[in-house]
Amino acid sequence: MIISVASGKGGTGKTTFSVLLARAVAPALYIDADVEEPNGGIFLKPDIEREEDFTELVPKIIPEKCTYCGECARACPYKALVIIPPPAKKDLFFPELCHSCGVCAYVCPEKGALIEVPRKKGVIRVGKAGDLDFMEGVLNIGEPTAVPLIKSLVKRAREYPGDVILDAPPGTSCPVVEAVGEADFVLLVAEPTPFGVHDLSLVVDMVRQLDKRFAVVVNKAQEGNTLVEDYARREGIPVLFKIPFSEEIARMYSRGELPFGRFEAQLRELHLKIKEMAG
Amino acid sequence: MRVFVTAKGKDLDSSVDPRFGRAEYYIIYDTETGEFKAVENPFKRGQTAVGISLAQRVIEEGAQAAISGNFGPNAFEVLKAAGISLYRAGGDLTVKEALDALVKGKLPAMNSATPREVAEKLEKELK
Repeated sequence: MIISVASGKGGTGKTTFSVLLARAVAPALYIDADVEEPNGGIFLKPDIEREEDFTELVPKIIPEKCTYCGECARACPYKALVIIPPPAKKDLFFPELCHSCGVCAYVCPEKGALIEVPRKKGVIRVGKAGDLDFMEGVLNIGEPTAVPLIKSLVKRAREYPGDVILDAPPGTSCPVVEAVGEADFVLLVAEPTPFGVHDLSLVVDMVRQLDKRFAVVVNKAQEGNTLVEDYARREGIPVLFKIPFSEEIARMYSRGELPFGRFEAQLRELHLKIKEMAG
Repeated sequence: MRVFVTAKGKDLDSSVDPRFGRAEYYIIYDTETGEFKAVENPFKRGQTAVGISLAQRVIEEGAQAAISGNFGPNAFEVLKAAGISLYRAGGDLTVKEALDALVKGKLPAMNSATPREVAEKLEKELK
């Protein structure tokens, strides 16, 4: 079963909640799919056993065979290729614009003039934090899209025999859709502020369109502040867990620590409840 | 010689647009015949790669020289690879004044792309 943890707004406590949950329900697999800024490892402190290159295919022009007709450059929707026709006969490739869609190779009329070669776009680090399996994707800085790397992580999540806690990137854009697309259940973390509730409503729209079972987790919950609960009640969304607003947790967090023991029993109960709700 | 100039309007009395990729219009001027045409920049509202797209258009238009206020790093790379001479028209020059200065050899050549921080400052000023 895959539980994805998402949030409309960044910095609401996705990773805090994800690692607390993963630690409590281990043996399981924690995947940090926030590949532009993975930080779950800071708290779980895994022993990394191996690092795999994440590559994608990009075009390479073979000058001896290329006629510089420019079909590839005209077809490229991202303008990552520029072909300068004869007499100059030059080709320019802008890797930071390339989405590895392959259309350039598809349209090239000269056999062998444009080949596709792998280019490293990031790494997937695999390890163990005690009885918890750990995986994180790290995208190279400047890459145009996080989606393919997240897709590769989600594939591994599907292949894993046990439970998976998948820490998604923030927001509601394509990488997030990818990170929750295969989830059996989605937990949306929100903080009780007007911004927090607004961005929660955006991600609620998203998971509804994806037809996912989901619930809300409140982070930095304060006595007497019912902003998130009021919204959730209006929308008919269950609020399944609250992490209290606490200076102690903030202090621990700033040292790369979290009170794992404190919530363990409650989180195991939550896990069982989610399994029931996911059917 | 066909010259490509980024312009804020459709005639030779328009100012040179200081932006390359996001220029409002471009004017192709033939220095032998004095004929010109103005084209609305189809890439000006594009999300990405507007500089590369317009640089490709310069090549397709068969221009040998290009005048603008600034050239970004990607556009600069494409235009240089195509062997197109690049010139900078700063200040409030009109297209006509810039072309006159080019013919008289008084327009400074661009030997490097506009640094990012300069381009960002310009973008702010224009807003």
